[in-house]
Amino acid sequence: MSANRGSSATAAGTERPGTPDRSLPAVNRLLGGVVRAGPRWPPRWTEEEREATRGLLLVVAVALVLLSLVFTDPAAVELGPTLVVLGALLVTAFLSRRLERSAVWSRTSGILLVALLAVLVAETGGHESHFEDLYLLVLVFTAAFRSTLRFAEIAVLTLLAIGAPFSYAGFDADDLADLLVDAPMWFLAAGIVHLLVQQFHRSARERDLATQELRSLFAHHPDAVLRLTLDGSVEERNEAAEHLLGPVERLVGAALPSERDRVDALLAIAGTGTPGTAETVLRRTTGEPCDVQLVIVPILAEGGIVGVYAVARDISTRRDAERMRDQFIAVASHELRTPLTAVHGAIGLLASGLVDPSSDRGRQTLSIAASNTERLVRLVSDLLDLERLESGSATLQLEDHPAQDLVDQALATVAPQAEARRLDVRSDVDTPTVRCDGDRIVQTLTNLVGNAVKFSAPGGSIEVSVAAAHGEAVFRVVDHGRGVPDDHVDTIFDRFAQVEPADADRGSGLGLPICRTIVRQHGGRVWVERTSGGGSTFCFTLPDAPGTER
Amino acid sequence: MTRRVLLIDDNADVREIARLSLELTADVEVDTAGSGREGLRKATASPPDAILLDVHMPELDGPATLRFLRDDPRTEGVPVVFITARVQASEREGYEALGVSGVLEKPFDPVRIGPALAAILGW
Repeated sequence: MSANRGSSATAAGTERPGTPDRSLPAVNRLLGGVVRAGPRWPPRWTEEEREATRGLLLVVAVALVLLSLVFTDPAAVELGPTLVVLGALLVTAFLSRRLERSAVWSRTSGILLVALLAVLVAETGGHESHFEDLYLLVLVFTAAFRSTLRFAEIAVLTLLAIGAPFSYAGFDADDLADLLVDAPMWFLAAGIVHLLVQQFHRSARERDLATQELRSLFAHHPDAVLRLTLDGSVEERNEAAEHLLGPVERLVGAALPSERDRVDALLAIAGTGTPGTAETVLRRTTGEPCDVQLVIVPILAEGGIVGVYAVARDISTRRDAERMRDQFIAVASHELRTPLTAVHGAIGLLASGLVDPSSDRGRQTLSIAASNTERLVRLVSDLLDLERLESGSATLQLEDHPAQDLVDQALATVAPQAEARRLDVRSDVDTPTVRCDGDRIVQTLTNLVGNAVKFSAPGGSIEVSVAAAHGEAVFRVVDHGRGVPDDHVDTIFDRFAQVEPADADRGSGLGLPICRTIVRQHGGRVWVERTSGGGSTFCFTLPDAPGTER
Repeated sequence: MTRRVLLIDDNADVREIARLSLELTADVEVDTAGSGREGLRKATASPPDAILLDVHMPELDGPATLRFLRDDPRTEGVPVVFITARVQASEREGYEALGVSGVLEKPFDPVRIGPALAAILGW
């Protein structure tokens, strides 16, 4: 016992404070296992997508070069320099593929291209060069196609823009005037293209981001989400839907036959543009029914309804709890109404004068009223006790108690009934102390020994023992009565479970459920065995470190 | 004319109080049975004028007992009235669909149970 405590304390001590474990198993321990491992996020571009984009850029670059060549004087075009330009473009494109991860390269490659062209222009006649327009075009677009420009880049590009034409020896005042007239136009064009490119970049990024976020919501939503056409065919389903419903083709097909009209009606309503919700039953992949809350949302796009989203949330746990509660209320109200009927009837007969209270019949009627009132009181207090225990509002007062004391207190309580039936009650306590809520464990023992007294034949015997085994204290209450039939062994601890109808008169039907709840609160187990030679043995355990429910 | 009523209920105290109430408030003689099986035995042995049948009983419950009564030529014509602690509107309709003459509620008013039974059966 102490060794266990020691090792768990060491383990806790090595854990660094302030760094909560965010691994999937740890998160699932916190959240009750609702998170499943999903695909890696965010998604990366695939190699194919990257290649396609590169190819497209290359085609555009080549097309630009060819176009500019078409619009220059064909007679003046020299093949050599043109091939140099084409080669430079191709090399830049291919080099950038190798160097794409380098931020410096991606920023400077365009400027290098412009510089290359500047040399070409200077070599082929400067201001008079056939390549001047191509040069200016590449220059402007190099500047414009960047969503952001740095001051250094602007400076280099400006120098290049002005430097190349000036490099021609015959540059005169007229050429300068032309340049001054042309320059604002080029700058304006560059500005507009730059703004458009910037806008395009931003909206494309925002659209991509919005799409990615919506895809993520769809894919990883813990509810089953299906995208349907208006006639109810499934177009797409998320992971949870795959898990819950499997490869279903029509939503209506996943519904139980009795629920199909309801699902159909929801889809019809969605067709008019109105969202709808209903609790219904769908079939799991395994075939068993599953209670779901179904939400149908029409998808409004392009001025019309283009489809429907169906969201199915598994509510089977809540519905099971509701069914259990309803069943409990039905049984409890029956259990309460039966003695109430007897009391109400008996008192009514006496009060109305139909039965004379002083007659024999009157005295018998009064005694029926009295015993049933007692039964009502017991039922109500047991119900409240059980409710308090199960809701957790009754906290355990854990202390070390001598096991012998606990047993003695319980035996003293049932002694009058045991004596009346001439029962021999013995105890054999092998454990010095147990850590528990003393009152609650005495209540449990009293209940079990009380049952043993009720179900023992007069003159019989009952043995109560406490022993230590595997770090637990094991309590046993052995009787030699009629025993618990095998088919009741699992249900005897349920509320209002009675082996024989007449047993209802002997107890509230809540004693064993109360015992079970108390023992489980202590972290122990409770069960019933067959006593060799006939009768039953009710056992429960209390762990050395109680208080953790198993 | 004194009529014979068979009361089938699993609770001894309720049986006794209902028997007393019926006999004191209507011109009936009440025989009692503590289970569906015992009720069937008594009803077939000597068919009564009416049967007052508890719905919720272990083993053979009210509806099951009713089916046996209806299947037996000796008791198929005997009017049956359910007496139950669980009465909701939907349940009452369900019981009436089984072919009972009426449903009495628990707890019942001991002074009025006799006249209520007579009214249901048109006595």
